[in-house]
Amino acid sequence: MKRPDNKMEEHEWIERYALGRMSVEENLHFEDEIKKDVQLAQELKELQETYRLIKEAFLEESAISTIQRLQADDSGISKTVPLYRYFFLAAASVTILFISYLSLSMPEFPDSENDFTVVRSTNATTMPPDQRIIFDQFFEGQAHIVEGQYVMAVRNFEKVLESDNLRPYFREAAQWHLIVAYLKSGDLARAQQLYKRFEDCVECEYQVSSVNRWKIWWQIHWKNLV
Amino acid sequence: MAYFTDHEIIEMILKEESRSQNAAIEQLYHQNEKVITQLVFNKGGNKSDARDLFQDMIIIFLKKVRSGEFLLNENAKISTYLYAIAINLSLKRNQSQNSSYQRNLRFLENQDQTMPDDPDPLDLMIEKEMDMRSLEIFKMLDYNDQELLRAFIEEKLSMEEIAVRFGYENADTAKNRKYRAVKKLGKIMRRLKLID
Repeated sequence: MKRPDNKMEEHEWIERYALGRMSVEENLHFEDEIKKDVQLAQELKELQETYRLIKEAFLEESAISTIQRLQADDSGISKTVPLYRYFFLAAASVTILFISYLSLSMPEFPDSENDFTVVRSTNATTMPPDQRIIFDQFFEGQAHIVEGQYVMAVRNFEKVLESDNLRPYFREAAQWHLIVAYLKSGDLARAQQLYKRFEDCVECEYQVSSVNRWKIWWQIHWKNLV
Repeated sequence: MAYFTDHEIIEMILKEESRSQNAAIEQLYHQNEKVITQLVFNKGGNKSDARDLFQDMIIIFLKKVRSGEFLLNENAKISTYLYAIAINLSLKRNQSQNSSYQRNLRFLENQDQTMPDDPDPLDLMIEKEMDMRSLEIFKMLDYNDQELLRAFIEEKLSMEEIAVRFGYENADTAKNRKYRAVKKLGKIMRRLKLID
């Protein structure tokens, strides 16, 4: 077995020994040469130390990138959690506020036509007494709702609805008011029954906004639950 | 996540293989990160200081294990040793900002009782002052030389494969480039007195 005679080849020869890439026979030959040549032993030592440093550098690089990944994961969590919490808190607050609004606020209806056309045949100046009574009952009922006298309001609106000569617009207005009067006076069954008439109403003339419908629907169901 | 004992962690580091080393680091991170962060906060540092210190602490620990300077005794715990490294690193970092550093140093020198695994604070500080990370030294090479050595040692590519990847004329050119890169690194190490 011959020792390489040029610098590059000798370097490769030492390197193969340093990296453990020699056959057993080559290995023995190399170790014999080291014993004879101090310079070769020194070059081997240098190369081993160089490769040791390279290997350590790669391990360090890998260690640092592992730690950085773990640190990034941690900061990712800590950023996500508060944002998630804020979102959850905001959503919960809005929901609570909306439910409170539906539960506590009074349903509002459009102004009824404050005129003497309550019933079909009207004459503003010569209103018959029975029509005048219905007209008065309606507005008295509204006043009772405002004052919180719901049982009295129920009586007023029931009285209004006894008449079979009401315009549809005015009849619906009276029914909506009666639903509220039932609801507030604790007669939930009747309130619910009357409300159902308007649930799928397509041709209703007295327009109650969705929010006010939700208020009534929610308050009926909430009180039923409680 | 699997739980490794302190002995297993040392064995994993001594394997000198990235995957097992990183699994060990992952456990060390989860076990010690909070304590080390708190230590840095107590000394007036912030989250970023804590992160840097944790990285340095682990690199020092890995080196100590591989060099055989850290031996796990019966009563010893890796977390205690890490904490001691962290305290000393933190003291060193305060040196430039804090004039009380010298007083602390004298206090540490005069301390009679130290934990059995405590690295000598002075030793650690002086060592760190002179000691550069292997990675920092390696990165003193040109980027091409770094990548060439990475392909040869980490990826174990043949000279023919290296020639194709780096666009060299042939395997002989690749050999020549690699030879020069290794020699350059040897020269840097001699300058840093890492090789006699």
